[in-house]
Amino acid sequence: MLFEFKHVIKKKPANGLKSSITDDLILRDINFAIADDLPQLILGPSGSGKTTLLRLCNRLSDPDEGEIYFKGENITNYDIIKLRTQVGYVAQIPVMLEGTVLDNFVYAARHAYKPKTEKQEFKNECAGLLQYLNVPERYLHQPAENLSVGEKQRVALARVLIRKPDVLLLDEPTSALDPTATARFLDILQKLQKEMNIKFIMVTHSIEQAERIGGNAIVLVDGKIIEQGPVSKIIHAPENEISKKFVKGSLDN
Amino acid sequence: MIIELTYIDLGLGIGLVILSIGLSILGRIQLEKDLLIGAVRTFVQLIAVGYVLNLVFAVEQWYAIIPLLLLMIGVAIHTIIGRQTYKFKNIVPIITISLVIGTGSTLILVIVVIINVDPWYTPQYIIPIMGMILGNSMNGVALAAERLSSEIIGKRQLIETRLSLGATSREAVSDIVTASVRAAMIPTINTLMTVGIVSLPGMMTGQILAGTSPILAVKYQIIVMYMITASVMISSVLIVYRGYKQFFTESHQFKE
Ligand SMILES: Nc1ncnc2c1ncn2[C@@H]1O[C@H](COP(=O)(O)OP(=O)(O)OP(=O)(O)O)[C@@H](O)[C@H]1O
Ligand SMILES: [Mg+2]
Repeated sequence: MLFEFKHVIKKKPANGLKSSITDDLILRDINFAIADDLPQLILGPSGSGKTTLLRLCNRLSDPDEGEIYFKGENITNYDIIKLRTQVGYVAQIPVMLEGTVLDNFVYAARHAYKPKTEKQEFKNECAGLLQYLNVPERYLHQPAENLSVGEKQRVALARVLIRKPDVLLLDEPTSALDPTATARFLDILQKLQKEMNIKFIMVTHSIEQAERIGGNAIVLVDGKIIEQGPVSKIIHAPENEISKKFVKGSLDN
Repeated sequence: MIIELTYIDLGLGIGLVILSIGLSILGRIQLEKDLLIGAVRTFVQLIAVGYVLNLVFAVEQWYAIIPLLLLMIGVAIHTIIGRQTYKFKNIVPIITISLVIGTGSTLILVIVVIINVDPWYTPQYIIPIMGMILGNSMNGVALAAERLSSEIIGKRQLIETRLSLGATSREAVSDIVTASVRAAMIPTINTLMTVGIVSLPGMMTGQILAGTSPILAVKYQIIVMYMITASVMISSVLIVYRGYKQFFTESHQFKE
């Protein structure tokens, strides 16, 4: 198993406004396992805890209760920096670091290994990744802050890929892409999986996308997993009433 | 020879404040209330301090000086905390340690080594010197701490991006930490650059008014400038390097 969640509970951070009446759990008793060889999707409506769940996988935050296992080992036993090299994360809102797109690559690579960032070889590798993700190569020397949101999303993915991760955590990576770019992006993910053997865990609320990618999925509603299994089964034969509505609702729009 | 000031002279001085209040009313600047309160506070605070100092100067013993120094530090800490929009965890001990080490080390160096005051607790030296070091370090620490917390909170997404790209929390905030120390140091560095040209420092003016030769007053002022620099630098470096850690766990993630 790539990841295993055992009785994971995540509370809302205390901020003084908490009262005993308000419900303060974001994730309630999450139990599931992520297969080694299949894409894993996290579906669910807005505010259901998808981002919160994803961020537990590279320990940007830790559960309040329960354990998470990564490749059979408790995730807290890994050296955190090495874990974050193995488990790459692309946030829901892409944030560019200061400087050019190349500077972003340099920062990302520097913390993963000792790249010869001055060498043409490194620049070629970055340019190749951009090309791979359909971002014009000349952007390499432009300020990253000036890119469009969709371009930033792709640069954010390329920036993680330069770190040669085993696993990618993708939080709605296509939210700012047009249909063509989205289709291309999904193709690339499949290529990454095939060619570089990168596994990915992806949050989406698009049923169409889920269907295209395949693999396994969980449906998260209000911090609970209400349905899990192969994507095709969840979409075509959901058992749970709420997930039926969720699947239908998404298909309608 | 120094000209004595009577309370009647001070009363005449109030005319200057009344003039300002008059202008505020005429120009609808609405500062009358603040001006009045400020003027009264200046009067009361300084007269009170004058009597306390008079007493301490009369006693001239370490057991009169130490409590006064502690009181000064206490007020400075209180002022710094009061000025913080965000009060991070352990802010009181961290500010206390930064301020005590920053001002204390500088004070000892100046009193014992540079000016070589004997005995060390001679109030004429230790009180004004501590006052200047502390006042400036207080402003520096307040600026540094405010800048540090507001940027760490405001740039959370950027910091988390760096963390997820493998940076340690220290690396992820290194630019914020530097910017905070710089913010604390800028007023001091500006003064170092322009002192004597744009303005005459208060202490020097006071010494000259009190009859000291300008050359000696200038020498003291140079030492004062250097000690302020050191003290602000030490205390603001301490506050930011201790302070940023309060926002992160050992696992390089934000505390929640
Ligand atoms: N730091 C936090 N403090 C308080 N509440 C939080 C915090 N983080 C998340 N939440 C709450 O937890 C719930 C789940 O948030 P999360 O971001 O995981 O949702 P999501 O499923 O990713 O939603 P979306 O599809 O809109 O991105 C939301 O109700 C959110 O308000
Ligand atoms: Mg989300």
